Amino acid sequence: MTSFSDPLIGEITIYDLAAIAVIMVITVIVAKLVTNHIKKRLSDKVGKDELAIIVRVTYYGIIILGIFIALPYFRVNLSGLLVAGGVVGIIIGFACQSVVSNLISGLFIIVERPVKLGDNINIGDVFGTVEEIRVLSTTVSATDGTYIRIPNEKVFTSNIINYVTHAARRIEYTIGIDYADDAGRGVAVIHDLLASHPFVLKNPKPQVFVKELSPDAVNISILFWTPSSEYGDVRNEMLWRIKVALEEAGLSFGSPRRMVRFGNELRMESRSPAEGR
Amino acid sequence: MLNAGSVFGVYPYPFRYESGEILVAVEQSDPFYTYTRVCRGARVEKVIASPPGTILIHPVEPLTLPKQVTRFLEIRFPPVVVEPLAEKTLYVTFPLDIGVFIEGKGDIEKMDVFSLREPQYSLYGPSDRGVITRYHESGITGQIPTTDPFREGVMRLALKNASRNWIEVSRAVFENTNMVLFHDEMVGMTARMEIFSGLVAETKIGDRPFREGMKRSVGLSSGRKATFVEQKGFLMEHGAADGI
Repeated sequence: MTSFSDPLIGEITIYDLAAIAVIMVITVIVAKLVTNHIKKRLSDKVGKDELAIIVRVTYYGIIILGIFIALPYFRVNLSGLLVAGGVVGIIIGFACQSVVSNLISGLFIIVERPVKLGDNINIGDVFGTVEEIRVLSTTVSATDGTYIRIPNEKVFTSNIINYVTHAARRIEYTIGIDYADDAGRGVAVIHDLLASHPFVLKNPKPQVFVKELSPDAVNISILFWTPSSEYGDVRNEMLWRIKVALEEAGLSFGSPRRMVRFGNELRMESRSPAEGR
Repeated sequence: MLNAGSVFGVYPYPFRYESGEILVAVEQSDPFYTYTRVCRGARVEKVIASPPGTILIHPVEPLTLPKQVTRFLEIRFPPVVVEPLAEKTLYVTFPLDIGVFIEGKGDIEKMDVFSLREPQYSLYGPSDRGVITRYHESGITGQIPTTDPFREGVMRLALKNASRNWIEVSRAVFENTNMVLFHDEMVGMTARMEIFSGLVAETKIGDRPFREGMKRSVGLSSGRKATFVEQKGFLMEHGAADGI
């Protein structure tokens, strides 16, 4: 009668086969649980294709890990395998250095989420809207419609300016009113104008005040907040509307001026046309 | 004062409604129908390519004009001091828009939204963690106030102070999820605000009218067609009063 410890195939016993079976079943269950969890967590964060790649890589990674755990039960001499595997690993590591770096950076970007699809961002010298976040790269549509692919390593290590992460952004103008005009009236006109625009936020309250008495004009500082999504439109629209409103109120803008003083007394002579002949 | 009952309702088309600043009409222009709306000088026209059906004109939540930038409504009101562990009910007003929906074959679809009010928006909380809100300033009353039903609705707001301290409240922020408006000759909504401290409160919109006979309005927020489930609340984490 065969016992559990008797060799069945080579040195492999029934006990070994049972252990291998249990390890592989557990490995498959863990792989399925982990990949299901990944699908749920990342389904709204990455594209369908990228999600499929991540799920597949994770699944087979766990399976390979399970095989390594089960290898001793196959009575395989791991030392030779590890040496060979180590050499191959070093070669592959050098060859795929940038790919792996981009992959790891991509995973960190997906988890940390410094940018999301549709965000207006500035990464390095690239300004545009995030179109796609892939495992290896992020694609941005520049404001002039250009397609730009940025390796994830660069995205991860660059300074990222995200213009829409926060709910609101502040707009600031400085307007110079001519010294001959009533700057106080200008402040009131601008206040009324800001209060009438729906996307000039009520809170934080808009601020309009005389900031500086410059040589050319009384400089009025205008600060107000707007929803980040409306920033560009509101900034452009309000600048023009402020200009028009001030002109309609009879106020003029300061312009560069220079006062010239003469050291000597100036004499003015006027002659009639007849005298000049 | 206009009577909301005279415009909010169901209209088999062709029809024409004209009152004051509003014109809403669906008229035949072979082989189709033309929807026309004029409000505050703005005119919208759409062709309806379907056989005669029905149009619904209902009050809707004021969160989509001039474009949707938020799903939160903020109502500011004079400071109310609530005693510890007490519950008080008061009435505030809220802004509303007018929605036009087309109905056919069991489906209702939004066709137009307009308003007699100029909207205002605000920021609740700091810019990095706060939310954009549709802003409205209201008075407070102990009785149902009289409002222009084309511009303002009435909210019955139950304030519950769940803390052991006196707390001052002067604003409430509501999320549009399951925001339900009801109408008869006025437009109404019920809400509840549970205050845990001066900094934290939770608001919930009710799914019942505050008086019998009010009809439920078709809303704009998602899931309105579904039956109501547990009402989701909004956690106000940035204070329930000014200066917090």
